Amino acid sequence: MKFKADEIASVIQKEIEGFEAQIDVREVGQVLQVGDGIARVYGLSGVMAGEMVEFPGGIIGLAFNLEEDSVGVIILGDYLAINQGDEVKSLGKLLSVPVGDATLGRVVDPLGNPLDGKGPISTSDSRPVEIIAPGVSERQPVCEPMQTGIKAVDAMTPIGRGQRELIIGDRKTGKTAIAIDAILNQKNTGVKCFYVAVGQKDSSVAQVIEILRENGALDYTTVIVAGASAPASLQYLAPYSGTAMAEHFMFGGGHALVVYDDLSKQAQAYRELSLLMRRPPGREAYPGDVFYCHSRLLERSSKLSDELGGGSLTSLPIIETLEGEVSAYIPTNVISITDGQIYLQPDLFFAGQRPAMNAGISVSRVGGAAQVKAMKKVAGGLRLDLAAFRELEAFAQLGTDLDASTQSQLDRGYRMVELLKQGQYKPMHVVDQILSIYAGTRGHLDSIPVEQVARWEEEFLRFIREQKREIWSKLDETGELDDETDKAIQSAIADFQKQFDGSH
Amino acid sequence: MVSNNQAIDLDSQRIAAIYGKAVLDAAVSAGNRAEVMEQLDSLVDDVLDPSPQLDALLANPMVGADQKMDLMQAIFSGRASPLVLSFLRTLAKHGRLSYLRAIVDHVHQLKNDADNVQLVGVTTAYPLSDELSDRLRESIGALRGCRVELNTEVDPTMLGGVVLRIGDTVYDGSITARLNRLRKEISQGVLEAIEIDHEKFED
Repeated sequence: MKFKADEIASVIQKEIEGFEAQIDVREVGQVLQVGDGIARVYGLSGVMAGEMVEFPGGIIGLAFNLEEDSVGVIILGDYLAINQGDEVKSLGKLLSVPVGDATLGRVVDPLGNPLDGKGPISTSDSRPVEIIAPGVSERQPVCEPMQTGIKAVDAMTPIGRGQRELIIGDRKTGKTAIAIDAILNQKNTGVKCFYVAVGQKDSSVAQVIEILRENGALDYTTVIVAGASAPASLQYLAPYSGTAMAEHFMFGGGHALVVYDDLSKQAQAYRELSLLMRRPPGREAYPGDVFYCHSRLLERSSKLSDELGGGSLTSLPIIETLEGEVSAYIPTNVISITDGQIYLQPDLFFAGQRPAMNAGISVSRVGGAAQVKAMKKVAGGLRLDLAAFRELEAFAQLGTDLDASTQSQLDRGYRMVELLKQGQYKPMHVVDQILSIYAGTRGHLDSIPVEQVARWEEEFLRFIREQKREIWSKLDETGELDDETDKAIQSAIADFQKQFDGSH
Repeated sequence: MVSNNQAIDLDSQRIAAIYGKAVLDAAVSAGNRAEVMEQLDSLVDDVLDPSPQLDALLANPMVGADQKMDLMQAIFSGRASPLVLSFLRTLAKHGRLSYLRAIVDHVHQLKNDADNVQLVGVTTAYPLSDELSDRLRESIGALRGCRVELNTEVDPTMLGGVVLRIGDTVYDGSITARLNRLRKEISQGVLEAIEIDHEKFED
């Protein structure tokens, strides 16, 4: 492709004619010392905390520490290009990122610069990275469900739009998988998704992007990457800029889902910055305001009142624990901030129960109000039953003789556990989930051998879709399980049982 | 004179602020500020600058405080006013003689603040004529409501125009800054024009 020189020349001429020779006024300082992603600057006497500053070569920094005679600046870029004595100018504005539909389908860094080689992000809208979260009068209680498409989550720890649900667990227990499934399940729901990768291996992030693309989820998703090789300043900032991009949709009356993968790495990045800035270390050497660092971030997830458009921002923060230690500093902090947690356990994971959710200590404090009514009805006592089953199972391993009712409780438990297993990247529609769990909790699976439960479920759902379409549509439309539907499902299951038994 | 380009040492500035204020207050209450200022300036210009050895000696921690006090007494007794002499002896006693230059710089700053004098850095591509610097001094003084002392510098790379520096604020009216901004605006404008209607530009 060639460009027309005369057209470009006319644009340039217009620009020159419109150029106003103003005097450039700027507040400046001088770099005293620089290293490890931070700079100490002399001067800049009028700079405000959180204000953007610019180093030579266009490198952006953030005024972080205002001291008696110098300013501590975190450098959001290549700090090796900055020298002692360089002039620093304040830009008089807060850090902001591009927002809008143009960001969807893109992979960007925490400053909104594209990383996917698809050219600049063409949008004139931007939002400040740090804002104060909506206040009490601007919110309403969580009332709509945010379906993750995962049976175990939607049945036992339902998530509502505007909720913060923590995903916590050791390494390699499927934390990211749950978040990715939740993103995949937002297809055709109008929920915009934001995946913030903090301190992750670039190879894992590339894999996630590839999965999103293959499943057609990248069309409504933005990936914000501050990988393990990115400076601590960018890792610290990434969750805030991802939230800013998501808030654009929330304040526009839409719905957004943001995944922070993961906040333990962000806390570590913040610890690094704080220690380099010589702020005093506290517990586990984290600075005193690391709680505020997370609380002000997660507080921005909200369900706005109807006057403000009723938009919502749901967040799924991820925390990685070490050896199941949930009482460490950062996990307890984030557990106390969020509205519930999904706890993933390695031994369940390796026993083949995936997602490896521990039903006993996983909770959702607000999502129940937003759960689909039919689901609430069929899955009501499921979480406690499963927790009781786990205890009973441990007891039964002692080899004692069991009475009939205990044995039947165990049998029911084994089948429910089997039923809650779900393949990766296979989010299920909520009606399918309701039908499956109905069959399990109402005891229709008790006569099916445990190893055939998965096949039974698959064939049963196909049977309903193909032959009992009206049940499916009714549940989908009303979301309620009235007596009539209940009976219809019962008879459908009875019909299917004959067919299923017959096929063997 | 206070210069903007020396390396900044925050520790010495903090020390200089304390001693500078002390010596200036003492001079003011003794009623001979001008004389003390002149002697301090001459101390830097006529004593320290020509003899680097003395400078090194004053900074040498191996030489004891008593020795330095005796040295000050021997050199300046009879030459400097009693206030300056006792100031130097105090510095020697506390091992702060090496901060002398920073202290004198700070005394100048304090004096400027007290007299409502603003120090303005002026950078031009060519040396300023007297007439021009008078006009600059007047107009800046009228703008800021103070007397103005100019600190001129010549930088041929800025092509033309003038850059003023008052405190931490820089007023950049140089040709290079305008050219840089023009370049940015042109490239932005062309990019936007291409984005809006790229077919117009294709051959």
